[in-house]
Amino acid sequence: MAKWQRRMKQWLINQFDMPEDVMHEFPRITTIGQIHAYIENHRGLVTFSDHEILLKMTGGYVKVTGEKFVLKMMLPEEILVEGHIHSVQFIEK
Amino acid sequence: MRIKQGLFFQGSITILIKGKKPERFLNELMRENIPIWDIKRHGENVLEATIYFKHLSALRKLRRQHRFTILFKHHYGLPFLLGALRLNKPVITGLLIGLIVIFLVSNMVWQVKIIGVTPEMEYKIKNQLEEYGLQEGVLKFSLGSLEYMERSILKDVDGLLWVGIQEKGTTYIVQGVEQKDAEPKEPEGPQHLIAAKKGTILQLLVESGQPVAEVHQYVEKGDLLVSGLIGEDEESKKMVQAKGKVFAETWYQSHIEVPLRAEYFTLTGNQDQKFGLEVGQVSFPIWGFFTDDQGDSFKQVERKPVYFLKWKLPLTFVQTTYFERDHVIQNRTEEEAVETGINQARKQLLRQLGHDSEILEEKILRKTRENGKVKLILFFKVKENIAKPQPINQGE
Repeated sequence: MAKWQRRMKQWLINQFDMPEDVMHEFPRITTIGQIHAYIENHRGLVTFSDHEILLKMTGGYVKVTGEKFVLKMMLPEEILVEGHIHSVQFIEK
Repeated sequence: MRIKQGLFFQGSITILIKGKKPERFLNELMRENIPIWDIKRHGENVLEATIYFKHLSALRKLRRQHRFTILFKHHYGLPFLLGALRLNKPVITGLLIGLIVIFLVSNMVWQVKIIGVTPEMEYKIKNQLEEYGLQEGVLKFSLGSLEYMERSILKDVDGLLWVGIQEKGTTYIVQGVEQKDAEPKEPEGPQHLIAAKKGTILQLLVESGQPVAEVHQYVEKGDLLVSGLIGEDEESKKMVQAKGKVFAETWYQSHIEVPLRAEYFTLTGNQDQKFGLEVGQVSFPIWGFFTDDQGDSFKQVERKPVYFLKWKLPLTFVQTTYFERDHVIQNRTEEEAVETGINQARKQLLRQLGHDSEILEEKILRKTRENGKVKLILFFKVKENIAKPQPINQGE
């Protein structure tokens, strides 16, 4: 059933030329230089410290590392991280 | 950031979350749709975060379900300031309503005092003023100009000689002077009638006294017309008060200039009103933002100070009225100019003559045209009463 659903979604995306992040529940990460990272479609905060942030998402985690992190905003589906970003990493389960 | 909008009014609290894995508590808050911002790590088991003041109760409820310690670090915003003042919503609402009421009451007409007239007249004036909008209980701003009221009340109420309206705080004092039929003062003593000016007598209407002058006779100023001494011979002579009217033909000359091109404005009757508040140099419109600026208009501005109790606020209520007007340019031909000139001269003359006078004849003595003007010298033949009483000196 789940498989069938995924195929259906893929078909819809191809047919209607829709952005991938809308249909799949993929995270969308926007960075502004090294100072801001804007992460949408996350599934929860796992760890947060001033040099690392780990977010849960469908099928894995996103890890952002850097320095002097402050979470400027935290809403159910979006997070804005401020600080000095070094890397964005995807960790698959 | 949209979170920060109106933050001061909503109020915010910065909290410290202590416990194992404090991120879990953040996730819980997030699940409850509570926005969180400015999250910082303070140590292994401590997180700092900021939330809206309104979400405080939801936060407390959540804390009961978990083993976290919540410390309040800092608060910010209006709700806390008000809390410090021990003011809550009802008190503030009450205060505001109170202020508004005092403000309205300070700008209200509390009393209209009418003085110096009889009760009937007072009643009439009162009714008339109510028609103009001046009565107890109205706001001062809604009043028209007092001068206008003073002027129109004289027109609308018969028997008034003068009205003065004075504004004293919330009281309007209306002072009136009634017209009293002045009883014609009859000079007691005997008198002659003499000529007030030179002329040819046309008609003698003598009530009492001995006519001296005759019809068609030419008299100079000061000539005796009707004598107050009657009786044939010396013994039966007695002094009376000579009364009557002596109509004579008199002559006037008037000089008048009429421009061939006249320019003037007439009001069309269309008007537009704007209201505004003025604070110092700055004015804010309240009502009537859009006015047709089409056409020529004449602007009349009325300012009324705004009071709070007895103090004048640095506010002025401004009422601007635009009267639409027509600019009329009239070009006259010479004949038209002459006609206007004669009419004007006639009117002027009649105004200055007594009411029982009439113009018998008019003539243009000279007509010149220069600098776009017509200059006229007119001659008028007038029939008027030239009799003037002169007391007879009894000391003789």
